[in-house]
Amino acid sequence: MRKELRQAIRRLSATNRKTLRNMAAYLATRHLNEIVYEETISDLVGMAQESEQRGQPFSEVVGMDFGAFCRDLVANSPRQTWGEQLLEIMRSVLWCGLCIVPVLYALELFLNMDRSSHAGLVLAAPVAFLIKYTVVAVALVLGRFYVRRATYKPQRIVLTAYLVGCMLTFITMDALQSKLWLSVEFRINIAVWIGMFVVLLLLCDLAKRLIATTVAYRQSKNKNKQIDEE
Amino acid sequence: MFDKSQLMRGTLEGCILKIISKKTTYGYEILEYLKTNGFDDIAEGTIYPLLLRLEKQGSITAQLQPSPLGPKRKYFTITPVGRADLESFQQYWWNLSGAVNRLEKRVGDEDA
Repeated sequence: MRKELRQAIRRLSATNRKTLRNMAAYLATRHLNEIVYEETISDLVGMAQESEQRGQPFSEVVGMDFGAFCRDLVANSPRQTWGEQLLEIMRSVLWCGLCIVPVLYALELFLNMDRSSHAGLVLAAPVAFLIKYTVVAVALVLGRFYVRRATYKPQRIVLTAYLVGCMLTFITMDALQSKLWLSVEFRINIAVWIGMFVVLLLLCDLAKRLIATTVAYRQSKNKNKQIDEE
Repeated sequence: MFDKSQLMRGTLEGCILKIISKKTTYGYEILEYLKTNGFDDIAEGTIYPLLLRLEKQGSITAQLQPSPLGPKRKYFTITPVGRADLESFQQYWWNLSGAVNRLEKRVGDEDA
């Protein structure tokens, strides 16, 4: 989110800040065009600020429960193209990839975990070890996505389901690890790993932004053309 | 109990287009205009998704302009597609309201 938008959110009251953050979390999981998403959040922040100026609660401005309002927004907003959705999925996968090896390295460094070792910046462990923690990381990331998507559902149930799901994933992978996979060892230099994934993530973000801007610009150009013709 | 929200939603888009056809304006100003003309039960949250829909279907276009309060504010302008939609809405509204009024009068006369 842009810097000025973040600053504007910080100037809101604590209640409205929390409301806006929940709305942003919910809308972020609905595959809206990136430019439209940012404009919508900017509009909502503007509405919240003006409501505070008028001394009106933001709930009165919205006029209905926030979940229904967000669903209305999603129904009436342009969505991401298939290219953007694919890049979004790749981005999540790349984030998992980026984090998993440094986390394992840190765990090995501080806990001296069984089956792994380190020498300088190189982490050495069986492939089964990497697969286990990669699956757990994917479960954590995907679970977080669905928790945010369920912002307007009963949070106790949602968070309990998330924690139980992650624990079950860990237990299952732990049980399978020694039974199913060969103990082929891998060795990874974490500096190279981090550098590679950071570059891939930046390229992914750039490509996604380019597509979103092109789609938004094309729509705007068509509308301006219509006005000029008039 | 009569569900007036469906009737409201159906007419609000046309009313919003009418307001925007007069001048370039923004959400809260549209809301104030609607309220002073008898639309008491609506909030900015009701018209904002409608504005997004109108923009998505090409009836209006939005431009960001500086606001004194913080993030830029969206100002909406009607497009030729919007003018055509407005004309269709007005035509349909006159036909519909005429038909409902005639039905009311006829049934009222029959009761009398």
